[in-house]
Amino acid sequence: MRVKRLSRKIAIVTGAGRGIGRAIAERFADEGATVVAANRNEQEGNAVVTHITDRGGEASFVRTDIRVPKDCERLIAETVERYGCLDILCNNAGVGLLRTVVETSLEDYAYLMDTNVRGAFLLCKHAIPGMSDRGAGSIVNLASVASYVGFERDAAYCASKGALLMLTRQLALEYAPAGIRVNAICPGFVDTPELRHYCEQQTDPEAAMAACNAAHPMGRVGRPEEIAAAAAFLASDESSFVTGASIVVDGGLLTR
Amino acid sequence: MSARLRGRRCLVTGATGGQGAAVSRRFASEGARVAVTDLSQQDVDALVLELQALGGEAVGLRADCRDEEEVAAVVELATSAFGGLDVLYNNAGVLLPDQDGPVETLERSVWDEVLAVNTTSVFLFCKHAVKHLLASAPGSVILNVGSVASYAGDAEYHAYAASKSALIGYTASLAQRYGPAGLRANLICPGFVETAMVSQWIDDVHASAPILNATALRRIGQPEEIAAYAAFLASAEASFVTGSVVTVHGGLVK
Ligand SMILES: NC(=O)c1ccc[n+]([C@@H]2O[C@H](COP(=O)([O-])OP(=O)(O)OC[C@H]3O[C@@H](n4cnc5c(N)ncnc54)[C@H](O)[C@@H]3O)[C@@H](O)[C@H]2O)c1
Repeated sequence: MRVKRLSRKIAIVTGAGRGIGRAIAERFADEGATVVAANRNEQEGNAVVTHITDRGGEASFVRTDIRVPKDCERLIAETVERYGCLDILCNNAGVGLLRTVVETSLEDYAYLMDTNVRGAFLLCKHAIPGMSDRGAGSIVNLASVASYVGFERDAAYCASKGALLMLTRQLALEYAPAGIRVNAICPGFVDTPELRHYCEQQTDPEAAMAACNAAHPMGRVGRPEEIAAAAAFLASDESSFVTGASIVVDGGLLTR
Repeated sequence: MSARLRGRRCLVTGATGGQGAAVSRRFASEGARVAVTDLSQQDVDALVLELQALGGEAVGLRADCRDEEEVAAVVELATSAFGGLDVLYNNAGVLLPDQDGPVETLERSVWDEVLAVNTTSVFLFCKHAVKHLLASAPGSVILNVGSVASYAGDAEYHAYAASKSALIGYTASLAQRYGPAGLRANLICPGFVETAMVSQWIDDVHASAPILNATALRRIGQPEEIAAYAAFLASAEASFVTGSVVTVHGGLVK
């Protein structure tokens, strides 16, 4: 029999519409959590909710653009109103931008930072007081291998993921006494619509995919489910002594 | 308990110690077949009985992990009993609080002793086990046990820190070399965990202010909390996790 590791937990997953976020939302629901799928795109968000409820899970949708501060505040408030509390916040929503620092416009920069860093920052800001009152909570941030090493033509993205990892550590330190754990997952390249789209844009899509695979000693990119498994562990009480940590799920990419 | 490790053939070193026993129990309770080794045959026998009582298949043999012949015998026992090996958990380790220290006080013999147990033994177990692990790849895994001292060093225990930091490079090397074959390798770095290793130098671990102050969660970890991470990493749940330095330290920020 499979043990449900997140029974009776209320969890928010941002960017739950597809890719890694969708896999995390589905995994959390499989583990018994009630999932609030936050997404910019309503159609995608509703599709995930339907998929989860069709399988007997609990989920609902809150339209959220994490670049909009009011949306961040509302997402937390809506969740607490609907379900009474919030146990797990998974800051997954993020965007990429393949540009050098010289090519990056101020608008590009703001778009990226407001999504990848400020969005997570604000959701933590609004989620933590309630978690703190209850003396419990687990925050899981989706950082990246780009939190540790640079990638070419990836200036703002690398900066944003570095910031998110450090935010994770700082929050862990600050709120451990309040019973809130904060951790990061740093995936390597993962087979998502985003990655497929990137490869298709290259002059030789097959070679691009092969290069992505070859970047990992395991010789392949990751699967969203493999990131979701780490998220489920970090969200659950199984990881009760893990905080301020990051788990690198990258098929060995960072070893070289 | 779920059974993510059903049928998986595991070998745990330092298995009768605090963390080793917790990991062995956790592996067994998730359905693994567990071979255990440590210095005392009596303790090993008792642990084997306990694991069998949990419903698991278990075997054990005493060995000094510094001795290559004894290490080879343990690997042989495990692989012949179970017909192969999927998980190698290198956990045996020592901290010699009265002898370890900075250059002013540290004897060469103590340095050698600490590196022999904490570092060289990992190489010896890998040397004898890797061919079996490769035979069951993809899906097999080496898990080594480092420490926060692996990456942060330690002001007091220099040989210990050196012995554990060597495992970062060695584990990453294993991951690169054997990743293409589907054999994973990771390093687990615990913070302060309530076992004999810590209680030997802190009379009352609970009353120990410096540790608690350095650890954000304001408490010492339990061996079961290391075992929970070990079970995740040993299972197919962690199929894309390799070459990683995994910290379980309650927010011990150094
Ligand atoms: N307890 C902590 O706070 C802590 C923190 C970081 C890392 N670690 C590491 O975790 C691992 C497990 O330690 P623990 O906390 O369970 O301590 P422990 O002392 O309870 O266990 C260590 C085990 O290793 C065995 N061992 C030592 N020398 C050996 C030898 N020559 N041959 C075979 N076996 C030998 C011991 O007999 C013992 O059973 C060690 O590698 C340790 O360095 C512990």
